[in-house]
Amino acid sequence: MKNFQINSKILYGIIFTTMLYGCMQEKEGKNFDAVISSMKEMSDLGTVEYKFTKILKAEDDATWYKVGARKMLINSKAYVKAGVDFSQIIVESIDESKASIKIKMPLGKIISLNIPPDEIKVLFSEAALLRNNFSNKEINTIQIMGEKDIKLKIKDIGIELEAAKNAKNFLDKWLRMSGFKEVIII
Amino acid sequence: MIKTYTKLIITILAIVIGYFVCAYVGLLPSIKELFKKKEIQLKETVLILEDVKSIAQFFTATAYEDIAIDTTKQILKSTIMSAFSKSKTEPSRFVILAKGICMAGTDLSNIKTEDIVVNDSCVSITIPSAKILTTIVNPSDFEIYIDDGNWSDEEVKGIKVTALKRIERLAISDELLKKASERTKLLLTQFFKSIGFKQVTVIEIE
Repeated sequence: MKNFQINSKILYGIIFTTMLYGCMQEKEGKNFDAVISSMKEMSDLGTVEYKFTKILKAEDDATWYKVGARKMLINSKAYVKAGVDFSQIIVESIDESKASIKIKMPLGKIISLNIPPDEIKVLFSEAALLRNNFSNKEINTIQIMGEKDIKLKIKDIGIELEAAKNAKNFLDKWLRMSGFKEVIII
Repeated sequence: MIKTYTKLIITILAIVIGYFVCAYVGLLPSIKELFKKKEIQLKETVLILEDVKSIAQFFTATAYEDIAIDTTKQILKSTIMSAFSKSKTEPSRFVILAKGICMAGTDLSNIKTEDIVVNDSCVSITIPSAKILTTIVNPSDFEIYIDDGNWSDEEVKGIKVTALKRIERLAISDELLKKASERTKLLLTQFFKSIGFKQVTVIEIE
């Protein structure tokens, strides 16, 4: 019987500690301010920037369990920077007597796609009488769909070619400024 | 009485079987299709090219930051709720998670002939100091964690911009600019050495 009393005291203790810990967890959860950081070295020379506009036309049509449709139009801007990997530039040959240099350039590549949040504007939003307006989560989902579409479409524009062409011009100028009279970039 | 029930059961069975046959043939949507969550559709629109400009930005360091922004505001309680309490307002909370990329480096677009001084096998190059070139937090980098429905689109946009600025501040406090500056100097030194210069001096000015 005494053993049982001790055991029940331990049990209450465990329950109380667990509850207290549970409350502390909740409090911590509400005030989280988590920050995770990491860093990476880069060596990209950005040579071109494209600015795009995309109108996102979202529709949530009526079905048998959704009475009425919802529509939304969003205008978003996208900035694409492209260039070459500077560390991949290879010096093929140098002829000091002729002040000539031959350089091999890497292919152009997309460095970044930026869709600034302050340049995303909801132009129009409409919901049928029995439907809720688009929630913030849904608006963000529409924007994510738009981002995916932009990522797909920029592949066919030839941004990389323009970036490589500009990189050649940039390097040609720099090498001539450094004293070379003949610059061959392949 | 039994006859009526039998008739009813047969009718229901006939309807159910009829439905399944129609669904199988494709005349009616299947049950799976009927209760499938219908997603919001994005209609096809063109991507309009607004501007193309040449740049010369040397990206040399990137910081990746994951942050959470917890915002609370006071909203007016509904008339029924306020009748039972002293306070007329109640807190409304919005929590958003953001993953951002902050890219730093040197803007080389304004380098002039006089900034590169060549003296035999020595070269001296003057470049501007490193700066933040781009901070990116795209829509897919945001996750709305808590939203009780009292936050307008404009308010959410404001919070997202705050997140972006905070990511930039964090990257700077993590010494991103110092790292970018060091790497720019290293890469330029390596490049000028590879084209034949024996001594390379990279001077950074404010």
